[in-house]
Amino acid sequence: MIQQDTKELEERAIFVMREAKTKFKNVAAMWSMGKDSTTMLALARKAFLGKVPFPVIHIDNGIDFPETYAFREELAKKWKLDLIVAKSEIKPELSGFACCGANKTVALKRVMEEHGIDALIVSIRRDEHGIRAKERYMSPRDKEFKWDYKNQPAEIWDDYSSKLDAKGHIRVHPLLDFNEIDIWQYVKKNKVPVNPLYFSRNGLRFRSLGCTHCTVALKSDAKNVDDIIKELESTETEERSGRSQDKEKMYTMEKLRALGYF
Amino acid sequence: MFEKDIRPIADALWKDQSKQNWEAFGTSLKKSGLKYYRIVFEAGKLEKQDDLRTSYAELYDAKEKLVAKIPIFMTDGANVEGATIYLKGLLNLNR
Repeated sequence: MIQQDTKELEERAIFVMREAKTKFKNVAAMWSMGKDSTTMLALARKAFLGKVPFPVIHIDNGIDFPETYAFREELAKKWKLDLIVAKSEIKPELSGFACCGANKTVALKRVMEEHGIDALIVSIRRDEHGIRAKERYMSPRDKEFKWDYKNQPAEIWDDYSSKLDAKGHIRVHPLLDFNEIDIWQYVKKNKVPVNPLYFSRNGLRFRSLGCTHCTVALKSDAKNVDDIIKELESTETEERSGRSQDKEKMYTMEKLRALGYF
Repeated sequence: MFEKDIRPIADALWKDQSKQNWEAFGTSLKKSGLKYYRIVFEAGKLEKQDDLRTSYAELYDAKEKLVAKIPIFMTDGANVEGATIYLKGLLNLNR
């Protein structure tokens, strides 16, 4: 796995978040309590003098891991986060992915409308999934949350799109250039707290965290951040191989994102 | 350490997954001495509402001995919600 200069990645992520905070009225960030979104919050604290200056949203389907809920409460208190918990109903008839897809998007639409949010920081990375590689740092969504990935603005010379459709919003992606191993290098260097489920127990660990029903543990002996970095230097397994929605048809994720999934 | 038997509350949860019963479970869990949980989900993935109803959690003590099984959902009228937040404090055995 290619490792990059975390200082350079940090500077870009901070620049993108500051740009978003300046350009938009009501910025919010998605927080799943995973390594990426927690790293994003750590970066936001660096960008804005030790405080996350926007609300963080957790779309809660009620079947997250208990450790994830405990981590949420602990860090929200420690970092004084303005946490919004949006309950997502489990209605399989809305989507094949009972706890993702349309169910989560419905909850997100509701909370964004309630709070008048016009820019949403999401911690996706290009190396996670083919469809995520098509994203921009600032990516417009229409009022139905739809993403026209075939017609996106170019982002040359750090000129990001901040044009808003009527009632649409912008997705902001400060971690787009990070690789999985860069995240862990950043976690190590900056002592970012992480969900304990990432560490091995009985020869198994979770490499990508979703809810209890879509996340499967993978074989690993990595018991700390150093072990994880060492493991990633030589792994040939995909990061999201333990996540069930990615095992569906290859274009399912593309369809989900085009419809507003994050 | 005072350990409270969680089994009667687990039985009550199988009969009625109301918020009230879940709150009582959450309170008792703290005094139960239980340490681990395992999510058992035989359907593989959620495709219909009933798949959630058939999944459950196994609760284990500090010696990893199975103590009780509980549902992992809460009912509120016709609505079904996940209730894994009430297992907070326990450690995962699925890995």
